[in-house]
Amino acid sequence: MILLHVPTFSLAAYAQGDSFWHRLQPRVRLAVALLLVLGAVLLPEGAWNYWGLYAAVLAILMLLSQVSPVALLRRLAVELVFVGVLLLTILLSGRGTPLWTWGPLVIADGSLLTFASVLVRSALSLWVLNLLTLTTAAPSLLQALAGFGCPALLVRVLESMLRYVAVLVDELGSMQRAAQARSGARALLRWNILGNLLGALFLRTYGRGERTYLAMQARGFTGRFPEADARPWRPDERLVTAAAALFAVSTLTLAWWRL
Amino acid sequence: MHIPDGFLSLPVCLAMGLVSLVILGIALRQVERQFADRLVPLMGVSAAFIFAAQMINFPVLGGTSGHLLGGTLAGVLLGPWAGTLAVMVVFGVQALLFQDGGIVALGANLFNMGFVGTFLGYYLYRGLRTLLGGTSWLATATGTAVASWVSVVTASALVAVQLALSGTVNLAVVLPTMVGVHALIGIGEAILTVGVVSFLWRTRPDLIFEPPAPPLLEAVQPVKESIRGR
Repeated sequence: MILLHVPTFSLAAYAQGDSFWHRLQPRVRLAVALLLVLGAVLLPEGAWNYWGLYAAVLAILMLLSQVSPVALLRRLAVELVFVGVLLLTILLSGRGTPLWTWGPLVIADGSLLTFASVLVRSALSLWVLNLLTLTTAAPSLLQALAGFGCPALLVRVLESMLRYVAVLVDELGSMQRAAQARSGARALLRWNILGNLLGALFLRTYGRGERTYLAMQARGFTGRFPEADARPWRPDERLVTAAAALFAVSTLTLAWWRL
Repeated sequence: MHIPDGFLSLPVCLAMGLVSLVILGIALRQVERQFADRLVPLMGVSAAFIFAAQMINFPVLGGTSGHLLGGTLAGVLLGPWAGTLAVMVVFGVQALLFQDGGIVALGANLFNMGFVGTFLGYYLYRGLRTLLGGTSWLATATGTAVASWVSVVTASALVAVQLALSGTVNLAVVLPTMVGVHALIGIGEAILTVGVVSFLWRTRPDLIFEPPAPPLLEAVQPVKESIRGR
């Protein structure tokens, strides 16, 4: 059975909120999120206290930004399932003294420590990024990327891609339904139909790209985009970014110093 | 095969990030030269197409499922550089907006699936196609199938090596697991890629990057032979 899996949760469901976090400009939010991810990910194995600190900071951020914890947990759970397969290979890699054996499966203390550390790291970084993407609309996030020196051309490609993803996914869904209706098959899709489906989708896609290009040219597009000038950082935004940087650097130095 | 954050160590992340940054820069420049002001709309929809194609899950043994990575497909349809750019854009968006693959591990993901998947896939496909005679459907199909299987398996082996280099897992454990699972996923990838290329071969062969001889000649060939036979 071949399935079409479409992400059901909407992006930036909490982008309209009004809070301290929302009043920070997207560039600041992106910077803070990246600093927190870096800090959480680069801590040494078994740094439970420090990860606890990160969790506390994230919980405060979550409360500040008025994102519903239930919605966040649901997304985290789905995302952690995808991480699961790799996590299992770590758990069963059998380093250190065995704690528990079941047939060929051995869980040893060394691999258990790595497993737990990697699990906490990925959960924390997913938490940060979910907070960011739930509260920040994708276009402003991409603008923030451009503000950090990402090539303008790449940002435009990203923007244009995001514009068409929803359209193409819709189109794929309707083509799938049409194919099922024509074939009358119980199975969701068959391999040979699927190849034709994707091929037809590519043809439509390519035509759409050409049409968009011609339409842009007809409106006087020369390959250059007018750049929106970014707002300068407010003092409190500088303060928040500096605090995040200080937090990440100090936890990292302290944790690695101790070990 | 998307590596999440927390699995790779800092040196591995930094090294892969640097390599991917350089490749992305070259790809951007090459594609800009090739497409000029058509770059944004065409690359945008192509990346969206790869993104949509990746949403198709197919079953792998034991109840798990895999999905198309699309590296070889992008290479065959768009060429090595434009294909690399489109696939890298897809993985960038997945990491940033959909939390599929980590932000710190993004460089490694871009290299494994974006660059190796597309470049190895494309050149293997070209090489095999030329070896097998170049213009027939059989040569193209064989090249596409082998290239997509090999590129998926190679990318998965690279993931295993990077995980082992980071000290997260023993290579002896993770390499057979990753390669084993992806040898199966690669079969799905090969079937789907050949399916798409076959559809385009029949309908719009001019859209395949560096298109083979137009199918018109093939249609004329049997007529010629029958005339000669008389």
